[in-house]
Amino acid sequence: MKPWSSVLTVARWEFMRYFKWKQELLMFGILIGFYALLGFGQAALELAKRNTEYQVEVLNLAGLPLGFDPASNLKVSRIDPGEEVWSRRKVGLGEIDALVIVRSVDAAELIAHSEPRFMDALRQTLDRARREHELAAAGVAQADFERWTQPMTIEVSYHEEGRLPATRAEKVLVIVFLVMLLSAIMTSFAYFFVSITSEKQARVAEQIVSAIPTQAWIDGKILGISGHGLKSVLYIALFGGLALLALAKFAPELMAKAGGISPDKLAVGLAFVLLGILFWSAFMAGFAATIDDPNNSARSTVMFVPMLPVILAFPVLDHPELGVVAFLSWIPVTSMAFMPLRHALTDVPWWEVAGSLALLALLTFYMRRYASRIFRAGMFMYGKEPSWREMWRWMREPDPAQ
Amino acid sequence: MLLAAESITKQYATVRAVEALSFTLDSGRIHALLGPNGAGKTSTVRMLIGLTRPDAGRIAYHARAGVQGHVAADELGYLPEERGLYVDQPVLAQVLYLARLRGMAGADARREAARWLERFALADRAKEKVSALSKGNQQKVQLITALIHRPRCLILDEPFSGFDPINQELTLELLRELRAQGVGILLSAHQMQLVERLADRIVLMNRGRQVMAGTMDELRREAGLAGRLTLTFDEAVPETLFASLPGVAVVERLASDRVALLLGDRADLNALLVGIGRGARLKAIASEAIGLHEIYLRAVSTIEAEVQP
Repeated sequence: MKPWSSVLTVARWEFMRYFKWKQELLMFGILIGFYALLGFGQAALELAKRNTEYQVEVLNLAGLPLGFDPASNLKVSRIDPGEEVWSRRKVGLGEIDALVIVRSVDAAELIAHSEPRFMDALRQTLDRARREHELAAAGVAQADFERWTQPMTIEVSYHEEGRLPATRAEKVLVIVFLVMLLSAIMTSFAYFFVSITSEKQARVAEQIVSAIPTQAWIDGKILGISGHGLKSVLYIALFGGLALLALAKFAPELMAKAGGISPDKLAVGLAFVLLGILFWSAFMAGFAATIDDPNNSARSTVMFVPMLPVILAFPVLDHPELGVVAFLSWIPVTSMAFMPLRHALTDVPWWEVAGSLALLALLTFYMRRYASRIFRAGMFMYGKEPSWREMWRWMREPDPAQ
Repeated sequence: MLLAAESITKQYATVRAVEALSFTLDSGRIHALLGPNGAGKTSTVRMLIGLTRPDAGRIAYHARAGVQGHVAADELGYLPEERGLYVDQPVLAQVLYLARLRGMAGADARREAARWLERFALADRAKEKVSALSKGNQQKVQLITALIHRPRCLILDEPFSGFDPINQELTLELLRELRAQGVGILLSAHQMQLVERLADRIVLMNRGRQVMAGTMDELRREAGLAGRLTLTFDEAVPETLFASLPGVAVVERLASDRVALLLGDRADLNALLVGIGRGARLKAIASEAIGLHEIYLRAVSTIEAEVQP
């Protein structure tokens, strides 16, 4: 059998082992149902809020120019000082929601029956009345005051030799890439762990390795199980696309503000994400073969290492120009997260992108080869786990069948 | 010749698993590799199928494409001792997958899978997961995965494991059929009677070395044992009565009034019977050719006795 044919046969098998149409459709159904329920719940909550009225009585001892909006859900009745005791009694009985006593220009007292959910509306009204009172006392016209408090208009333009900043859409794109990478790595991590440790326990290795070279087996595994990582990337893209469609339909002004995404930034980001998934998949394939008992092995925690570069990238999202970001965008174990970030948010010369991508591709090539060697030896070691020294020795020993 | 191992040796960190082992396998022949646990059988098989390389010596497999250092993957049918199946996968899917890995085209694999599943009475369970099958049926699936691609060389480690006597007989028939079709078969098993009935040639191993090798007749001759006489008397008899009789190699007491005599290959039965007749009154006498079981036990125990300090 030709090596590529074996690789594709294994890849298909490994992917289909964990791909169940029924489960996928069920998951889609649940997700869509969840979002629909969430949207419906949100709408129902807004409607309930809008229809809830709060009955409040106000005793205005300071004589502030209080004006309440009749369309607001805060329904206000003014009372005289002689009615205060009765009003307090009504609050106690729950007949009204609150009594507000405006004692001076600077202070008011609120006696509420329960948590006052109308606080924002009440505060705005009191603040506005207080400001009007103070402006009148100072002899300042309301219109003048509003003009003074408007922010200064600054018109921004960029020099033709300078660099345009990233659009809001491009900043979102970087976050989407990082989320995709994290999701794909976590998904692949779970499947590699289950797949390889179960194969080791079921002792299928001899059967397979007697039929095809270990390298073909591991390459097929990397492709097949990475397929599940890619599947999670596709789901994110699909749901993201649906969200964009919804945004374009219901909030086109937000879409316009977000700006566009240049195709090269999209392409570079996807290339790094795809290679990054393959690189870490190769790492996990080799390492999982050294774990004898997944329930008791302390080594399981090492499998979380691939998530570190992605997690490290989030804090520097606002500082893509830092020297450390440039450095990490060249290192193959971190470049899959840092180069898309740098490239999307700053100007990166093409040779840096190409160089970093080539380094990542080269390391991925060698990672799958070393993974195959560790895998070949690790899969036949039962009852104990190899030492780090043994693993290092295995990495340097070529496959006798090749 | 299909396969030849010439003085192969395998050393692990502290153990010499195989030492200067030589044997050959021809097409249309069944050879058995026997030995106690730790004799070096698995290490030998792993070298033959290319999982490891001999530290010394040479393996020559005469593949269709030329001579290779291990059995060619697409010409090998392999049944590992430990059942190696994806227990969470359906029977048919698994058989097809392993057939594809052995180089079969999809349509051929499906046709052959249907034929073999029918033959092993598993056709109606093809879509069930392997974990739902009994041990015996799982072994049948394992056997199918070893045979489906029509290998030229079959290496079977414990092919009768998990089978009831009926299925053991069916497997025996199947292996004879494959031999008649020209397949070279190397097997290892603990069921001595089955091996004795099946194997054309037997290699006995212990502590990594070849202890004896040959056909059953050759093994009997090499062991110096020709047959076994079981004698029953009407009263208790002392063992010493028989030890000095001509041609008796070993005396085994079976009961106070019953003994078994293992006879050397040059035993003179006439003289022996005269000697037996001089003792107590004989009630019954049974004669049989010496079996592989005795040869195996004697060969292994002799080696063990030699290496004991």
